[in-house]
Amino acid sequence: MASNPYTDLPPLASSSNGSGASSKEPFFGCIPRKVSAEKARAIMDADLNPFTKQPFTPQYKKILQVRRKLPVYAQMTEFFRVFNENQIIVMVGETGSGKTTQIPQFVCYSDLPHLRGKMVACTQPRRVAAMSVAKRVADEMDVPLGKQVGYSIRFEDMTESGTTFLKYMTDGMLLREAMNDPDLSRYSTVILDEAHERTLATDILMGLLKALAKRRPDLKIIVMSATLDALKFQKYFGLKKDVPAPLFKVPGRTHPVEVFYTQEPEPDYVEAAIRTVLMIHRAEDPGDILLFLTGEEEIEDACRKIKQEAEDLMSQDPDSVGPLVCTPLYSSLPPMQQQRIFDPPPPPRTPDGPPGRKVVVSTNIAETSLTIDGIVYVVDPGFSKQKVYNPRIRVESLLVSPISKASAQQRAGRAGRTRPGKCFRLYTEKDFMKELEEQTYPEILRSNLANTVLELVKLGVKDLVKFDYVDAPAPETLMRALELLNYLKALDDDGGLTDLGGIMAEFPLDPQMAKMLIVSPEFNCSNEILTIVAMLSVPNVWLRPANMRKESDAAKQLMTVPDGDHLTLLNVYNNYMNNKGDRNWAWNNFLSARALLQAENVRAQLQRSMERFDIDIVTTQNENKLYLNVRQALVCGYFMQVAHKEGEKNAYLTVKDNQVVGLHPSCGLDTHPDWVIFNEFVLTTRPYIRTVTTVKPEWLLEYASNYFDLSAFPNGETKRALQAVLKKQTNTSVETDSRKAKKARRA
Amino acid sequence: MSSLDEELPPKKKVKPLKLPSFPSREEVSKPVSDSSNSEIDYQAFELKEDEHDKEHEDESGDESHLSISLFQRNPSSIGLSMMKKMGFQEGQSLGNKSSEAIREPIKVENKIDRIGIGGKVKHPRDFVPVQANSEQYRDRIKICFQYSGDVENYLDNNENFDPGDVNILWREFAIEILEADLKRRNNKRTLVFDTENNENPQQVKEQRRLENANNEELKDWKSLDNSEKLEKLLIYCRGFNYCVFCGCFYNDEDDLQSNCPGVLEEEHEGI
Repeated sequence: MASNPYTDLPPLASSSNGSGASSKEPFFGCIPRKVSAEKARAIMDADLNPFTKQPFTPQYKKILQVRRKLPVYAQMTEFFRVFNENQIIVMVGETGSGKTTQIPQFVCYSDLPHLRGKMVACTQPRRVAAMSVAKRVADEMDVPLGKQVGYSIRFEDMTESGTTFLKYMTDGMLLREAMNDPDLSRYSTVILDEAHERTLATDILMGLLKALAKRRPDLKIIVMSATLDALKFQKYFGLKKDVPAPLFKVPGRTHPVEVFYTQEPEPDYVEAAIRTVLMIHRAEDPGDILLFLTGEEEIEDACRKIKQEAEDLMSQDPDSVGPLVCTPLYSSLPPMQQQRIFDPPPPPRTPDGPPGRKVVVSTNIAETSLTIDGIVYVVDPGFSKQKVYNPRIRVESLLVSPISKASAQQRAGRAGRTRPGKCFRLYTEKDFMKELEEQTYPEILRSNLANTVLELVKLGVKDLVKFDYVDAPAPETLMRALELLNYLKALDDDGGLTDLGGIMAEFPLDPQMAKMLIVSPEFNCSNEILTIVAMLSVPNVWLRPANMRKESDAAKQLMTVPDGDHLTLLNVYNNYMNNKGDRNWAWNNFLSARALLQAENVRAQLQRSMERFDIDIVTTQNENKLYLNVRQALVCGYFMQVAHKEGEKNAYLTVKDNQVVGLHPSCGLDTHPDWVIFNEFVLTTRPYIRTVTTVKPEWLLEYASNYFDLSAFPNGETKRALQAVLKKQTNTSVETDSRKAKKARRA
Repeated sequence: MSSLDEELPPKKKVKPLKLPSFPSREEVSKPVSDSSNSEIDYQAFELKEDEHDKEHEDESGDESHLSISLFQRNPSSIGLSMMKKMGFQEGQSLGNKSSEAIREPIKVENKIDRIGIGGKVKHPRDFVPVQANSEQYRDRIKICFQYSGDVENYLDNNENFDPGDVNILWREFAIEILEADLKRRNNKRTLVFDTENNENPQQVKEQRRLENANNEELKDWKSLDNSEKLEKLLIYCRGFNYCVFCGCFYNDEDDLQSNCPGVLEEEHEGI
């Protein structure tokens, strides 16, 4: 990390180091991008690792046997031909075809990036996927992870400059790299994997790469998708008008899946799902079950119920009902527990007894990006949690909504991986046709774009209106993003990047957070704001086990700073650091040790970025004064997330958007102050604001005078309250002025 | 609706001495500005139609925020002016092949029930959740079921217990318990995709009892959403000076008025 990865070019590989290397160089005589599949296969099958020049280990040979059975492997010859002949390829391969692990390796064997000081990038929408696939591929290539094969995700860089030539990374990371190297000059080939997921970063990357392909004819681009709607990508990436980009297709290794629908709509889809799982367990042949639900709470709840009911079933009828293991899967689950989905189903209780079965209850993680072997039955209630942004009230939230037809097909397909399977849809066929959209909306249509717009401007995109989006977002969403960035002074009135905006874009943070961090030295509290930013960037640190609610709430109470949840987070982190010696401290205080450790890492990373831009790390000794300063610095970033108390109850109105919200039950404020800033607007049964700190209206007027310009402020209670503050201020200043004047006259 | 009101107060007499008459649904949902009656607007969480709203006019209420374009609502926005400098015209979409792109933000409803796809959803509204959390609701109902004494009748005299006698407010819950009980005793159950349905006579008998309880009155009740149900429950309880959130009985109405922080749950938060 000491060297700057953006400026260091990797040295040439060993082959150029001296004469006589040719005999030891397996790639001797190979011309980059002209290597045939036969040649590549011969090198793979030989005994010398061409990348390390070490003999292949027995483990390598063992894995190679498995690799040979992958569908992608069977089409190696065709892939090499298509890759060598084209600049841009669209590839379709269903999950399990081996595309994510094999294609980047194939590319390395033809592209020979290590001999040219270049790299091959393969993007993943998820951090976990980037890490786990990199590990797998490092094993397959018989190299240590972090050397020739590495990964790069936000706050964690597992690559070695000059050595790594195959880099798995989140799509967001590649986008960040592009900000400092718009030509992506370090890369010879860029592979966008899981493009069908249409994440925000992948969509933006597609736009950039399409433009970049013209500037850099030597850059090869592969867009990989797991679903069959590749024509959209082919058309988009057609270099000439009306000539779509070539398609390379690998048939999945799938078996037919029989789809069942319910006769009537279900009154309670969770309950119906549980019943269906148990019905399968009692009546269907061996084979594991995958049930799709929407979120952690729902999944844990369903797992509990399924376990209970399955036990009842088995004790009543041990001769015909086998044991059942129910495993949850969602992204906030610790990695160790996520691994449990790969455990084999439980054995029968007696040698002749009915076979055991595994049930995985998952969010839509298991829909495309994760393959669980042995699944024969899929239960699909038809919902998932999806992000949605509404620019009209400036709220981004995760809402449970119906999935698309494409999604439903993908889910059904999961049943046919091992042998012919069955998919039970908990809705009618008529509703499948009528109620479900064809495709899931790409994330760019459902997201707050503030961050993306700042990145795009930093990338040099000047015209955000006519940018060649794969799918263009709603105009109002762009308006909100520009507005926010202008109020934060990251963009000037013409949409140009300011110096401040340039630095803000360098931080892998939301613009509000970046702004607050950058200005915090002015308030003598950058040390504390840094901590708060780190704490806000990691998953929830509070543990609240179901059977210890009271105890955990009491523990939280002890940490609470009554002036604001941001200060409480600061307090938690400082206490954590003061108790580093005590390994049980986090657990004893009902805090997540994992999240706190993550916060520590994030903080260290951000601190390095701050040092790079000469942002001083300073603090204030007096605690009361410090807290006051912190709250003022918060205002400098989050002045657009302010709520004003309305009436006597726990009812607040968000400033300018006039949404009625309440303080979230997790909020630690001991009163209901008139003015608060909030980190998050959450929609559950009703709208709440979460992570809330009390602020003074004078600060709003002072530090965000543009936004709180009362002459352009919507009428209402909030404006009246601000006017009153202003009046008081002027009166006092007039008073002091007149007093001063009197003094002056006397003197 | 009316049958529901006529049935109350319930037949089983328990601790409460005086039973309130049930306000009709219309009354309940009517917004009131009189603060002495503040319990009525529980859970409605829509801005009250008071003098404030007249001043908000251009920015008031959730609905207007959702249906009017920002370009109309906020024509002087710096964001819009920046876009115009990039060549944007109102009414257009973004991108270079504008015909396919969206012009309006995507709307998604906040689903907070567990009704399956194609099932009837009441009051679909963007971003304006009005229903009470079902877990919460169930907990409240459970408490009331216990306090009412109905639960003892059920436990003491299981055989002749008629769920139809249970107060409508928690009858659903009583039936649920019975059904769960029935299920537990009988491992054969009807399944979504299963057409077989073998029943034994005991089961049939119990099933019939359950069906009796599943009459029109209950149907009406079930047609309410959780917040409406919870509302009725809260009002019922306050009628005999019990506050669900305080978890205690007050001596009399004055005691309740002066010592209970209010009808709303969040008024009890942090106490």
